[in-house]
Amino acid sequence: MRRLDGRVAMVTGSASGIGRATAHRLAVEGASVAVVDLDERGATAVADQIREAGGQAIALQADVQDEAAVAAAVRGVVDQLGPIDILHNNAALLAPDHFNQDADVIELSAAVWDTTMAVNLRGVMFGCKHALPVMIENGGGSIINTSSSSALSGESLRSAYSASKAAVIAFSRSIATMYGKRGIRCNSVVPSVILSPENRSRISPRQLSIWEGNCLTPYLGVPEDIAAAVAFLASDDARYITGHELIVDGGSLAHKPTFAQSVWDDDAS
Amino acid sequence: MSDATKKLQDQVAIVTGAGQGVGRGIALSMAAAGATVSVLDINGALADEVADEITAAGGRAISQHVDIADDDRLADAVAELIAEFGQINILCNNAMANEPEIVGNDRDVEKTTWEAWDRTLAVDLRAPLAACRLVIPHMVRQGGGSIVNISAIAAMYGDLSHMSYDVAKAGLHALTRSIATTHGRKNIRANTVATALILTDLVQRFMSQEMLDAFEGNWLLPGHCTVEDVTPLVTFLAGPDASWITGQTFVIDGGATAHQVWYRDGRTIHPRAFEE
Repeated sequence: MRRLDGRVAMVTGSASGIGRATAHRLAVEGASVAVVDLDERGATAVADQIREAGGQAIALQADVQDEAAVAAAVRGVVDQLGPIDILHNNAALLAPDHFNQDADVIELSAAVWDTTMAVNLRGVMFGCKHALPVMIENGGGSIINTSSSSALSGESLRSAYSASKAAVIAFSRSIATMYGKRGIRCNSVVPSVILSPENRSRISPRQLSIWEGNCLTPYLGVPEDIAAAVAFLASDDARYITGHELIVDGGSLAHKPTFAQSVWDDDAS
Repeated sequence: MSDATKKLQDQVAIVTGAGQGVGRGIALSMAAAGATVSVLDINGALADEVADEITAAGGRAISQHVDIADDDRLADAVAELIAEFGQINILCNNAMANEPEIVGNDRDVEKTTWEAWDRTLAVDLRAPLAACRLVIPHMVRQGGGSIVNISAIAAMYGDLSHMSYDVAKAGLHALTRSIATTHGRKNIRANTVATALILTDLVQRFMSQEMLDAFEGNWLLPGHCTVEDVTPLVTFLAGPDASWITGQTFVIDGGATAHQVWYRDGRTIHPRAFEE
């Protein structure tokens, strides 16, 4: 399907994981894609792969918590590819050395909290702030922000991450409300457990079985599942969808908490 | 007597399914708050006992022996209350179909029998509607009233069994919002209370320790929900302290639906907690 022919897309945090899969998917659907990441080599590799597969892509380095860097990236995309039609704010701070410090609230440092918010939330705001004038000038656009199922139900770890991702949903609704009449749609995509190559190699069999036990699908999600949802929200197929949070979680949030135990399902076959 | 703590003084309440369990607790709680309570149940002996218990404690109650799926009997019961007390201020739709042959045959979309579906929908959804239709004209005439419908989190989250029950309860949420919307300006409030597993006598009798333990792993709070954990919320919603609350669903589940699905027994195994 080529729903995005002639469109220009900017995807942050796209050197790996969900962002990388989205960059590939948007390119396959016809968009020219700006692969934006803190990791310049990774971004370049993804852009190279897209071009080798016959797509159009450029790589740009940016740290999304730095407003000047985000503004420069937006200018770079416009200069090299043209006005931005699609913005996927996907970058988040997931590095294990940071992420594992976002644990017990009593021991949570202000620095970990602030950095989490600076990347996961302020970065989304900078992306919107600098891409919106371009989109409005160009007649409209579609913004998709990556949230998380942690935004919708509680964790006994990662309170800063969860709070930042819940704020992403609220922020997306604000953008949808403020700029809808000027042709801007803004939605959140809400993944639960996603088996990216990066975390597939690091998880224990026990964790894997717990995740599988809580999915309603016979398989766990992969980054391409989120990419497909983002491509849909980016396309005109979603022209009447805005201010929405699209949950892509294999049904993890749809069932009762006792589902995985199922001990009373005496005739389960 | 005028006691400030008696929030439901001079009010008349109907509690369906009040012969045991949560319904009994609600009836006792509302009576303690000063209401005159119709203890309405399909089992007359149980209803009598609860009404006697209320009366013995100094409250006011009458026992009404009714299968709420029987429109005529339900209409008679409401007429009897109006004849006796002249008003009905509170309706708590709590009764559910709990005959073992019905509950046992309400499984999933393939296995549930039509008999189980029909009886469940009749008692759990049609009868609450019927009760509302009978009571609301009196509430309008009186200048207002409060309806509290008892539901379950199964109305909002999928489960592996009791499909008809889940569907009926979800319908009850929509019915609540409909009534709140159409009759709000007539000062009729309607709210839903959605519970999870409650340690009623029946549950304690029929549920295995293994199943109870499986549930307990999902509560954020220690122990299990008791009838007395639920009744204050229902009595609050019925009374004047909730005078600006309508059309809402109140989940009372020890936090079972507040946490991520991989939470168990007070800890989370997080997808990104790589080092266990």
